[in-house]
Amino acid sequence: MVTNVGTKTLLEVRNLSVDYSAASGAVHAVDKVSFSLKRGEILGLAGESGCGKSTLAYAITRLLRPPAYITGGEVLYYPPEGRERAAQISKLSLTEGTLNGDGGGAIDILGLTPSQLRRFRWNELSIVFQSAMNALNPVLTVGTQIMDVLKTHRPDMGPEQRQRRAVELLNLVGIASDRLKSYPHELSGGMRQRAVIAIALALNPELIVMDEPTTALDVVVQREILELISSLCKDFSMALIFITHDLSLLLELADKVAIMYAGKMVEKASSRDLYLNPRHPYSYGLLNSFPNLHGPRRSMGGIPGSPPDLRAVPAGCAFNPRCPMAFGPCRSVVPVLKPALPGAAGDNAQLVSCHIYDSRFSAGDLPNGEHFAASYASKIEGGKLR
Amino acid sequence: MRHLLRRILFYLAAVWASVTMNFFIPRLAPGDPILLMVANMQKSGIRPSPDTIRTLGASLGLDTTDPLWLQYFKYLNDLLHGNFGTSFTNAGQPVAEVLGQGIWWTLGLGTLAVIIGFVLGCVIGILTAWKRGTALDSILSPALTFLYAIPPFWLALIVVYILGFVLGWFPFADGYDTTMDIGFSWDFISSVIYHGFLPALTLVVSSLAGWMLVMRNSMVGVLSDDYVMMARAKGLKQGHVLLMYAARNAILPNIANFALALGFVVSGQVLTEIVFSYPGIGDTLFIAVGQRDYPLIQAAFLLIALGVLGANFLADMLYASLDPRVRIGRSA
Amino acid sequence: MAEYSSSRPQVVPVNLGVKSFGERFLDIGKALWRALTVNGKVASGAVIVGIFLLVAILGPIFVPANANVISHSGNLPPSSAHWFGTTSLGQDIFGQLILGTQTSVLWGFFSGILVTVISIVIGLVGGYFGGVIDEILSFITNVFLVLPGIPLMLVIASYVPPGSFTIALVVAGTSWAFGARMLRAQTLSMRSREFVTAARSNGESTARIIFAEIFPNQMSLVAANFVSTMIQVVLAFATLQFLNLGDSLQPSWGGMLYWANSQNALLAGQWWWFVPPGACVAILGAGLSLINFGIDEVADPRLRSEPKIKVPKIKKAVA
Repeated sequence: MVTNVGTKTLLEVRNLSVDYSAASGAVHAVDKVSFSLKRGEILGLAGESGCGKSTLAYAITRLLRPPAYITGGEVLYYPPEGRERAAQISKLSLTEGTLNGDGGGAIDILGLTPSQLRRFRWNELSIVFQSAMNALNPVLTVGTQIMDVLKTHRPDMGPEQRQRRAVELLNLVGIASDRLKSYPHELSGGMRQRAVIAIALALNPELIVMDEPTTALDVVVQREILELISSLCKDFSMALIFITHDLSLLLELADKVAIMYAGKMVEKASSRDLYLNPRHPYSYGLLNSFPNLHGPRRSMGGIPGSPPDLRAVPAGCAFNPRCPMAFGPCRSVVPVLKPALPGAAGDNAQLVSCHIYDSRFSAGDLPNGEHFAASYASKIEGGKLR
Repeated sequence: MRHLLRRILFYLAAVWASVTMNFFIPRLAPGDPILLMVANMQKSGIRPSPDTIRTLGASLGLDTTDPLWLQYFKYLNDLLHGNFGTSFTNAGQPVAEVLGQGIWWTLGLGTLAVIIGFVLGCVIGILTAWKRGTALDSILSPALTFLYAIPPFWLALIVVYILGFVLGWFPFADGYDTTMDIGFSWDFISSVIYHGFLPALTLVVSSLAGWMLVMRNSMVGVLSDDYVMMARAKGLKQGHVLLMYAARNAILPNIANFALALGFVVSGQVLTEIVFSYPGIGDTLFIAVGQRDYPLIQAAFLLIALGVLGANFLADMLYASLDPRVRIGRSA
Repeated sequence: MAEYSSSRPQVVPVNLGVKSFGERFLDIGKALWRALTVNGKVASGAVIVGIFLLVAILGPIFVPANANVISHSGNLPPSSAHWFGTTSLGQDIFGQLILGTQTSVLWGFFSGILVTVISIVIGLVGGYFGGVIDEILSFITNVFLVLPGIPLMLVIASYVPPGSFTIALVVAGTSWAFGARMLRAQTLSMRSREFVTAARSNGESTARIIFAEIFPNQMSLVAANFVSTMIQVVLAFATLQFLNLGDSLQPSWGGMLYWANSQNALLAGQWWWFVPPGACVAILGAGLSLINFGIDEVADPRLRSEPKIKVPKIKKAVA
């Protein structure tokens, strides 16, 4: 139970499930995922490709395309109070009355009609897509693509105001004003990504969802963009959901990190907790499949095997065939996300979905890094021998 | 500008190439054109005197002992002065005059049909892609696939048979009421429109499917591109996303492939003119081929080739103005 | 577990060149079957084209030899004796259609192959050598690409004696440009691949590198191009025959339309004379286009129609 909903919560996702309909039956791409996000908080979503992290993000923003469908759950958005647009939004869309004692009322994103959704998105929540080259229309100038957002959502703005705002946005992301009339192909990769971020910022949203925004960039540019994102979030106290397969990036940027595997959230913790004490064997494996320049030296192992085919997810814990520490119940009982340390509760508690931490199945010491490292080593060794 | 220059150079070279081809085809052909012509005359009961035969040879430029290169330059010089020779069959009329009448018919019919066919094909392509999987799409797309394969001349025959012969709604021969005087009277113009309806319909219908199928495929691709998804996410109005983001990009392949498609359209037009005895260049070319009227054949082909090259040049310029990526000199 | 046993090097039984001819034939058959059944459009297109092929090869055996012979019973409407009636010269239209199928399909295939061969040679040579050779070949290709095909065919055909073989040559001479451009682009990208470099440093002859190393890698492209070429060629053949530039004595679809048109079948309302040959061209063309669109769909999954599935309604539950 999340108790501290209050006005600090911005977004609450409850038991969200997404299926891909296929001729052979439904595939559960996202399976009953719940989490909440505070205002101004940066949440990182990490996992191997195909784990459902992008699908989850697109479900929250209602951008899923067939054959993906939301099959259940809720996504609640708590509009900021005291700001004029809060009134505007609650007038436009459904207010849910009093939810969890929160006076503000929440917007049920999944229940918005298409026209409500059109007004909601970009005003409150905007999206930065994976590849900036593909996210920009090649035949329109960058300026036009910023200004058409303003034209649609701020009809009271005149052409000059729109232009001024567009220049302001470009400057904000570190692009010179004269680039307003540039076409996407005339910008470098990093500049394009900056332009896409400028478009996302156009209406000062409360939340931005970024889907692997730096993956296609080289390392130096990647770092610049990350710094830009980080400072923008601070300056505008914007919340951010940042999706990447690169866990080491998240540890620097995010306040909290959630690890996904086969459509489920397997661990959620503050980035510090996750870095120092990854609880789930998968998190540990993921953390050690990237080189780390600053931390203690760890052996780079990677995780043997490959992510499961979502059409045939293993019974029990989906990770069990690859898990070095799997034992009896892992093959039959599906674990749930709960505090890793007994007694810990609250927003910052480290949550993990693993039977090792379940007193019903295992008593005894919590595994630490050495345990994980040793069992991974022997698992890999065993694999080679077989 | 570099792009423009490159294209102009290419088209100039292409004009030169078609002129040169026109010069060499008769000289490389296995048969003797003069003998073919004489045989053709004899078939229709004319016995040409040796004098006539010599004149024929002279008018083709085949009777000289000049070296080939000199003949070639003479030929180029004649062309530059608009001297296409005289037609054998049209009572010795200069070829330029014979074609000067036909060219307006062909241009008028062709331009109109290409524009209507292109616009209509693109609109249908956009709609079927946008409404993919709906009844509209699942009826129109296969229907147009079939239409795509229909030979234009057969379509012309069917149109003549049904709309012209069985139903009697439209005339199906000639470009105007031949009992009327040619002039800028309302009667004449309405007669031209009335007579032009079936040929235009045939051309539009037979070219429609090609434009539509390319447009639909490219639109389906573009619709799943990230920038269209982002435009939707930005909350832009449907129409704005459809036109400025999706269709604006999806139309580019259709314009880039204009040259290819135009070849089919022009071929279709030649056939349509033949079936409808439309007084255009296509029909003139066909009649000239039947009578082996070589000066007329050469000039008619040259005109058609120039027309096609000109249209392609226009399409190229349109493409450059629609796609900013081409403007900076990278030729597509 | 099975998941990572694949990371071990596996011992592959060495079995080089011991397959019997029969086995190989079976392999090719299997591959062909897979290619034809991979996509609904390809399959239905292949059935249509297959039927035409069968009729072209076997049809004439079952058609009375005198199908094209002039008789006194002219201008008959369809009957049990003459399924599609007779021409004004008393020829059996159904019999002509079958014989015409043979002419059209077989000559279509022949000129389709001719076109493909020209495209391959010009495209591969230009793409492989680059430089001046490529500039010249590209220019010629681009000129032929923009020149209108049918008028050019008309001009050429007016100088050469009529006949199916000359039509095939004319069609081939004017239709190769598109394929050549495509193959040139593909060759250009393949020219610097490792296997080409390796072959070059082994001292293999240029011709061998182009046709034995590069060409086999473009077979799928060539096959796809062959299908679209066939559509063009069948149409061009019918067109030139319709313009009476072919062999006017040999029955063909276009030739039948020529006779129907010149004998005023339209004005006599003899639809059974001019509808079947045109419909044959259209149906064969549609079959080939279906194969073509199917290939496009296999290559670009975005074009596939979305499967019809029930859309689960999200349950709107409010806490």
